[in-house]
Order: sequence, then structure tokens, then C-alpha cells
Amino acid sequence: MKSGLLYDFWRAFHKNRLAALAGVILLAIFFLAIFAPVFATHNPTYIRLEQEQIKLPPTAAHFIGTDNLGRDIWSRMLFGARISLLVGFLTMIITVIIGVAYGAVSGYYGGKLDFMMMCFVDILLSLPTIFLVIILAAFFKPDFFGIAAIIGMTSWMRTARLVRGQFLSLKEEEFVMAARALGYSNCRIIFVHLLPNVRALIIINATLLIAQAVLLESALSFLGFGVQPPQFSWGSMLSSAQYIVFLKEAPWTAFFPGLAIFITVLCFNFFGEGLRDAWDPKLKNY
Amino acid sequence: MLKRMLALLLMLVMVVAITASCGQTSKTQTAEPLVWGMHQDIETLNPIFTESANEANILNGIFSTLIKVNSELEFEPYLLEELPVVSQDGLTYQFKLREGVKFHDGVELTAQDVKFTYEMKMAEKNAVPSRLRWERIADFQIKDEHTFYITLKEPDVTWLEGWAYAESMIVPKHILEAEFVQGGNELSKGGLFSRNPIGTGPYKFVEWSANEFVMLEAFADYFRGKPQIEKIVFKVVPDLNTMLARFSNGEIDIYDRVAPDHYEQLLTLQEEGMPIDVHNSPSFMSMNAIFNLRLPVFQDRAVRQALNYAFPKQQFVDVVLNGVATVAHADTPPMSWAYNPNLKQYDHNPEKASQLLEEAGWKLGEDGVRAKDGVRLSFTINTNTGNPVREAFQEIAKQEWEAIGAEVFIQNYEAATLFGDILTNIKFEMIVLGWSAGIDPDSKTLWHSSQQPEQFGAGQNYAGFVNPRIDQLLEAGLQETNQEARMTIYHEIQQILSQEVPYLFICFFNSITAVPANLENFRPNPTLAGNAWNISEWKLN
Amino acid sequence: MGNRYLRRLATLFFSLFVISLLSFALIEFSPGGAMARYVENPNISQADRTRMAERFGLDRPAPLRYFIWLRNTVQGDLGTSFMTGRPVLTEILERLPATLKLMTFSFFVSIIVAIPIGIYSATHRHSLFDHLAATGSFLGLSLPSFWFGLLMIYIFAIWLNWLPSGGMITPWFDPSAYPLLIRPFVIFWEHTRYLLMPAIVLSLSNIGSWSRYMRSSMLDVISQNYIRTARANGVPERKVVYKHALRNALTPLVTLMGLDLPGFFAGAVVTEQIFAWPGMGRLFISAAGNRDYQVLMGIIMITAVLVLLGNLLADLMYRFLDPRVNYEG
Repeated sequence: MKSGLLYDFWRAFHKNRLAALAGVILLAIFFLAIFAPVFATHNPTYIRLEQEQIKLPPTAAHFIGTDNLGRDIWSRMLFGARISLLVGFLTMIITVIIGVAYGAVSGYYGGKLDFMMMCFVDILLSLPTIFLVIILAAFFKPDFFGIAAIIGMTSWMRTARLVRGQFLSLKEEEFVMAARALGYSNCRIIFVHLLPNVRALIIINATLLIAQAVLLESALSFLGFGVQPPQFSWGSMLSSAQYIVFLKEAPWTAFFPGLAIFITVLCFNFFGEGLRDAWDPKLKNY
Repeated sequence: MLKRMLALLLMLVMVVAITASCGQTSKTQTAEPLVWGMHQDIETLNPIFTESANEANILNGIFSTLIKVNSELEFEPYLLEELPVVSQDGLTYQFKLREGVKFHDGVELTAQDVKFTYEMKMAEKNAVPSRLRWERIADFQIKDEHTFYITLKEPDVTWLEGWAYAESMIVPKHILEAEFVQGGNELSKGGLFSRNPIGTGPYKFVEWSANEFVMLEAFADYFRGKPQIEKIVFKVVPDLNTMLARFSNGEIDIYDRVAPDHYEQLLTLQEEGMPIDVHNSPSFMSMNAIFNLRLPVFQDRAVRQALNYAFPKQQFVDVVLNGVATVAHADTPPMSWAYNPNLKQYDHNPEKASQLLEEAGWKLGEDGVRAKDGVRLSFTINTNTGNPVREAFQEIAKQEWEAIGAEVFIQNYEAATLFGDILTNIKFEMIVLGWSAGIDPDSKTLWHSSQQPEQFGAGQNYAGFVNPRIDQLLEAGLQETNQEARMTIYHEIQQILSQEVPYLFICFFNSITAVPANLENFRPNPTLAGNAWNISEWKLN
Repeated sequence: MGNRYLRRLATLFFSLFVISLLSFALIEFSPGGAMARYVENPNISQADRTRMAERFGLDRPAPLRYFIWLRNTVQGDLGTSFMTGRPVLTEILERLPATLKLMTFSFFVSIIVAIPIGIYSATHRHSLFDHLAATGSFLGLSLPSFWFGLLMIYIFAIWLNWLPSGGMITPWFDPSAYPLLIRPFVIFWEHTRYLLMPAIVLSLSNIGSWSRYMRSSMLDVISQNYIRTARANGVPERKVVYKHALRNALTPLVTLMGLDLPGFFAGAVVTEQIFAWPGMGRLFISAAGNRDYQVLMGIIMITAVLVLLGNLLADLMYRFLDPRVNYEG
């Protein structure tokens, strides 16, 4: 069954050229991020405090020029990718773990427990994320783990809802009844029988979550709650360059990080959509 | 068919409206108000409760103080006929008010209003943020309508300065007393008066649209003559980039407290022909890195001096601040009369720094970090998030100091957490903060051993600096009345500070303001009075 | 029928209670305190700060303060702001219209743009328009909003000088300066030209997600049997699409819109910052920075009420659009 599913999926995905292209671009970005030390031309944190070295336009020595402290932007983009992607992934993992666990329990057991759990989720959902985030920002030290935690803690609700919905319908299926009849424990049923069936849903959701997290991280940096020095991400590069957005001198300091975020998020979105179209066109929930 | 017609109608509406209101964006006629861009919304227009520099600019238009401090740092009598006369023992001040000064509602200003202002500041239920200078008053005697005496508890040479700032603006007794009594002997920061202020200033309050703008118009019976500019609007623009954008397309006329990054762009705009003036003048605001002297690693003076030598202050000012600041060597700004120009300077010299450390016994360990007697040269620099200049300091410091064998971490906190917890509870190791000096060079609150807040519950000696000679000098400086003698005292204080370096004194900021070229009499003022201190004198050609 | 609504109402109040408890706890445990803003001021001593803290009742224990807040709120008194000394309700009501204006305008822009795009993409599947729309939607979903906002300001306000770069209205705007006939249009344009950029930035991601959702929802419905039957019966195509399919396709979208409601408030925070829009978002940020818990609680409560009401409205619309959904609990 597994190989058949994967084969169908591959064929469908293959047809969706945009999604495939997005996937390739993402792989390239990961590759560059992982091998950043290889591709970087300079030390990304090395500051050159001389007028002749700051805000340089793109040249052969500095592919994308230098920023306001004389650091090479190309190298910073590469290393910054690590943090941006790391925050995205970490957030996604936190969100998925909490969301899936919560939704699975709620959906599987149903009844009153489900009602109460979903009530709590609804309550949290009715609060604008950014309010929670701003309040939480005072608690966590602003490093990339703190930010991932904050974004994660405010994003798991939707995943929980989705998983719960699936579990609710799946648990009435025959194979579950059969498993119960065979005397399998609840735990085993959840992990071995039900979870694999929502695998597709989770993966699609996860891809879109990463996209959302990367965007949110850059918005947080703009508001001043983002990654702190000496760490830097695309979001924090973008926000520190905002003073030079109107600069007729160095628009590339802001343009490229913004472009990088945009392309990465775009690719994640296309890829996720492609996955969804390929795996199960009926799954239309985000 | 219907849809198409609807679409066409909509287009027609758009076209008509756009062409009709197109003329609205041009901006240099005198009928249109002068627009000043504010960085934040203000909280109150009642001087009793004010404590923010933002509000000071607007309050300068509506209210008046007894004296003013001008851009040359001299006192000028304003509501007073002449500067107050001090008694021999330095305790009693005689004030003589000008006659014929009217509030915006026509009632004349008397000494009663001044006493009332004092009473409001000290009224128990009023949530007045600062009572520092008011608590020093022992007695307030009114002799007649325009003369009064104030006696202090102790002689205080720094006391007079406060009368020039927004917190000492005179409020009308005949209006505010009623509100006070009605509130159960309590004035509220958000009461009626704070939203409809009436003062003796050159401008009358017109409107305050929350979070958007405050509009003022000229007061015809102003005691110095009606100001030439009819209407002034203070507009809120929270984002500095948008501020620059709106300044460059004429929506905002005055851009005050320009960000260092924008200075060059403003100069470029000027070169390209935009009719503006860009004022660049020294201010009293400084930025410093405070050592927590209670930590073993910072107790060795050699470490502090070495860190000073290793940090490139001049380059920092030139590159990060675009030259709109001056390097600091002590706590007193260059334009103060007490400034000591012959201080020990720490020009960027990493070799000397390493040498100092070696000689003091800080040897390089295997991990590349120096250590002495089991204490590693390792510390964290703290500051608040969202401040690019301070962050730049941290990153540069980390790079330079790690090159001489230190281990530097950076840990930033959200502003309220930093100030409310990390600073006040002395949880920091090295913290980067700003400071605003006053005209008077006294800095007892920073350096005196009795001013360590965690021990004595008062003061701002967060560094934990204890130096008996400094204590002596600070106390003497407050007692001494002769300016020459005081200057010697403060010169020595600065000398010691530059030797002991309890702070890494970084720089004094310049104040940059961009105004229309045809605005006359705009004179930047480095004190707390703000750049709108002489708003009544402004003229547009 | 009434029983169900009563239950909904009860859940609403319970939700609000839990939200208030949660928010209060979070704010309470944030380090710093409301007096932190005075620390850097050389004129304000520690004694002053202690006095102010006492004056504001901050030295009272947290549960007591929560109880007082709760009791007052139920009676309609949301407390007083430390920052301005005015009632919280006044502060919020002064800014709420601005935020609502921005959100409503942006909401309608999103609907007007997203739904037709979604429908057209669905009916002309795999056409060039469909592909372009898909790309555009993803673009909208992927753009960092503040980057885009700043870019728009640069292009439209500075470079082209077509639109103002911030604020809600010109303070000295005087409609009486224009002849009566075109006055309403001038007023309309004056308000709109300030709204345009922030609303576009705010609605971008919603347009993206709603148009995609509309499209997939339409596709789902169109493939249903009853649509085929309608077509087979000779019903004109336009009627099939708009009367039969659309109505059913809209229902899931309505739920999504309800779920996205808090997102509007959230997006407004960043947008308001960039465009200097005098709304609640900025009030929230400054209140958070000043630990003005009464203002924070007030904003959270009012936002929560609005969102929950919005969900209720969405539910009602749901029922209106799909008569089959009548006996859902």
C-alpha cells in the first residue's frame, strides 16, 4: 500500500510544475543554508567600521554589497537563512507536537472531554495572535528559541482543530473498530492506526506553518521583538535596514532580505499546495 | 449591464473627487498650519502631570514658565520681571511677576496661580511623577499680587533651573481649583483640564485628536504680542521612516530629533533644492555603558580602562552615528560651563589595552579568554531591544573586546523588563543606557556612594561606584555658590571619572532638526525645554 | 431554538471569563512593572516611584486587583489608564472607530477582490487567469506585510506623490471649501485616500487565502450531482454558477472568514505602526510596553467580544446560506 500511494503522489506532484519548481528552490535554499560556511565569502559578523567599507553597492568582492556596519550582506544572507529556517522549523515542530497531541486526544476520546478541549481552543483562537505574542515577548529572552516558542504557542490551535476533525471522522471507520475488537490499547490505536492516516494532513499543514512562521518572525523583528544580536535572521536584517529603505544610497540592504523571505515563503506555500493537490484533493482545510 | 453602469459611475466619482482635492497637497502658504512631527502620542496637556519631552514642546506653546533657559544656556526671565533674587543664606528666593499677563480666557496671572501650581504638585492624592524639586520648598509666602517668596529647606544651587522646564509651567487657579475640589481633592491626569488646557502661552489650545494631532492657534492677547504664525499642528508619526517620508513630501514641516541615519538624507534633500534648514547642535543627551562594579571582573580598574582603549569611540561616532555626536570622556557635556577639556582620553588602541591587561595579571587562557585569580574576563552586555544604535555598540564591542581576550555575550530585554527588573534589581553585568544631563553639572545621583538604589532606596548610582574623594567633591559642589570654585570642583570630578571609568562613556548626541528654510528664529535648545522653547518668536517669511 | 442561543451566550461569557483570567495572569507575571517607564528619568526618584505605585493601587495583591477589575468591568467600568489618567473605555473608544474603519474597509476590499477571482478561477480552471490568480494569491500570502507597506509608501507617497504616507485625515481639511455638488465626493475621496494603502496592505494575505479557498470550494460544489442536473435541465450557465453553486460554495468560506477575524486585528497592529494609523494596535503596543494592565485587559476584552460576536454572525450567515444546516447544535 505504501509504495502505491507514494507512486501516485509522485506522479501527481510531478505534473504540478510550479510546486516541483518550488520544491527545488527550497532544496537549494536549504543547501545554501547548511553549507553556508562554504558559500560565504566573508565572516558574516565581521564589522568594518570605516566609511569606505559601509553601505557598499554590489561588487565582485561583495556580491550584495555591505550593510551599515560594513558586514558582507551575501554572507549574512547565507547564515541568516539558518536562523530564519531554524525558527520556522522549530516553530513548526512545537506547533505540530502540541497541536497533534491535543487534537488527537480530543478527537479520539470525543464527548465531554472533546467539548471542553475545543472550547479552550476556541477561546484561544478568538484572541488575535499578535496580542498574545506581544505580551509573551516580555517573558522570553529574545533568542531564536524564545521566538519559536512564542510563535509556536500561539499557532498550535488550528492544527489541533484539524487533527481533531480528522480523528472524529476516522475513529468511526471499520479498521478502528476492528482494532478495538482485537483489544489494542487506545494508545496503540492512536499512534499505530490513526496517526499515519492523518500523516498527509499534518505534513501539508506543517509546510504551510513554516511559511507562516518565517513571515511572523520578520514581523516580530519589525516590532522590535525579534532575534537579538549577535544572532541575525532575514527578518532582523530587514528590520534593521528599514532605516535605509528610503535611502537612495543603499536600497539593497533592505531589498534582498525581504526578497529572500518572500521567495522562501512563496515556495513553501506553492510546495504545500502542491502536496495537498497531489495527496488528496478533497483535503481543503488549511 | 447594471454592473457596467455601476463601475462607470464609480470611476466618474473617483475622477471628480481626485481632481477636486488635488490642489490640497501644496504647503507653503501662511493660511496652512505649520506642522511639527511628534514621535509618540502625548499623554496629557496638564503640566502638573507631565514628564515627557514630547509634551514639553506642545506645552511650550500653551503655557509659560517663570524663567526660560535659552540656547546659550542662560536664564532669562519670562513670566518674571527679572531673575529671582536670592538671600544671603541661599535659602529664600524673591520672585517678581510681570504685570498684565493674561490667561487665554482673559483672567490675569497672579502669584496665587504660582502658589496654586505648587500646591497641586504637592497635593497628596495627585499622581505627580516627580516631586523632587517641590519637596525642597519649605515655605511659600505671597507678599502681593505679583510678588512672592519661596524658602527652601536647604540651600540648593540646582533648584532654580527646574523653573524653566515644562513641569513648572503655571496653571490657572481659577479653573483648576474647581476641578481639584470636585474630584475630591484630587486632580486626574486625564481630567477635563488636561484635554482642554488654558495657559498664558503664545498659543491657544484648539483640538486634540487622540493619537493623531494637537492643533494650536495664536493667542491675540499674548503678553509679548500675538505670534506671527497663526496655526501650529503637532502630528503624531510613530515610525521614523514614515516621518522622513512625510517630511520629504511636505506633509510635515518640522522634523525634530532626527535619527542619525536620516541626517545625510536630509542634507541630500537640501542639496537637491528642497527649501529646508538642517540644524545640527550639541545636546545634553549621552549614551554610556555602565559597569556593574559589584562584579569581580569589573572591580579591576585595568579591565575597565582596557575595555575603553579597545573600543573605537571615534569611529563609532563617525560611522554608526554619521558624525552627529561627540566622543565623551566623562559625564559632563562639552557645552556645559563646567566642562573639563583636559581629560584622559581613550583613543582606540587595542595593543595598549592588551598590554594593560597583561600587566595587571590577566593572562590568556587556553580557551583564548583572559583570567586572573580564577576570574575569567567574561561578561554580558545588556540593553533594550529595538534600538539599532545600542545594538551596533554591542556588536562592535563584542568584536573588539574578543580580540583582546575577553568573552562577551549579548543579552537584550524588552524595555519595561530591562528598566523595571534588570536595571532596578541590579541584575545586569554591563548595561548600555542613555542619560540626559541638566544645565547644572551636579551629578550626585550618579556617583555618590549614598545613591546606590539597592542599598539606600534612592539615587541612580546603578554602577555601584564608591569613591570617598568623589563623595567629598560632590557634596562640596552642591554647597559652593561661587561659580569659579564650583568649576574647579567639577573639573576634578570629571578628572577622577575619566581615570576610574565607572562607565564606558561613549558619546554625547547632537540634536538635529530639519525645518523649512523660511522659518525664522528657530533656535535649537539642548535642555529639557525642548526646541520649541521660543515658539512665540517663530516667523514664516 | 432559544435554548441553543442561550447556551451559545453562556459559552460566550465563559470564554470571556477564561480569556480575562489568562490575560491577567500573563500580564501580571511579566517582569518589569508599570513603574519601569520612570526609571530612566533623572528627575523621578525611587520614592516617587513607590508613591506612584501606591497611588495606582499596584501594591495590592494580584488576586485582589483582578477581582476589583472583574467587578468593575461587569458593571461597565473598565478602569483607568496609568499612562493618561483617563478611563480605559474612553481611550479605546477613541481609537476603536479608526481600527474598525480600517478593518471593515479592508474586509470589504478582500471580499470584493477575492470572491470574483475565486469564482472566475474555478469556472475557468487551468486557464491563464487561473494560473496568474494562483501566483498572485501566493504572492499576497507570502509578502512580509511591513516590507510591502514601506515599499508602497516609497512608491506611491514619495516617488509618485499620489497618496499620503500616513495618518487618517488631514487635520485642517475643510469640506466647506468645496461647492455643495461635489462635496460628498471630495469627502469620500479624502477619507479613502488615507485608507487605501493601509487597507491594501492589510487585505493582501486575506485576498490570497480567501480567493484560493473560494476557488477550491467552488470546484467542489461544481462537481456535485445537483449542478450537473441543473445543467442537464437546461438552466443557463450563469444561473447555475451564481444561483446554485455560489450559495453553497460560500458557506465554508464564511466559516473561514469568521476564523480569520482575529487576524485582522493582528495585521492591523503592524499596519497601524507603518501608516501612523491612530487605532487600537498602537495603543496595545504602548500599553504593553508600559505594563498598563487595565488598558491591555480592556483591549483584549473588547477585541474578544468583537471576534466572538463576529463568529456568531458568521454562524447566522452560515445558517442563512445553507438551509440544511438547521439542526446543528
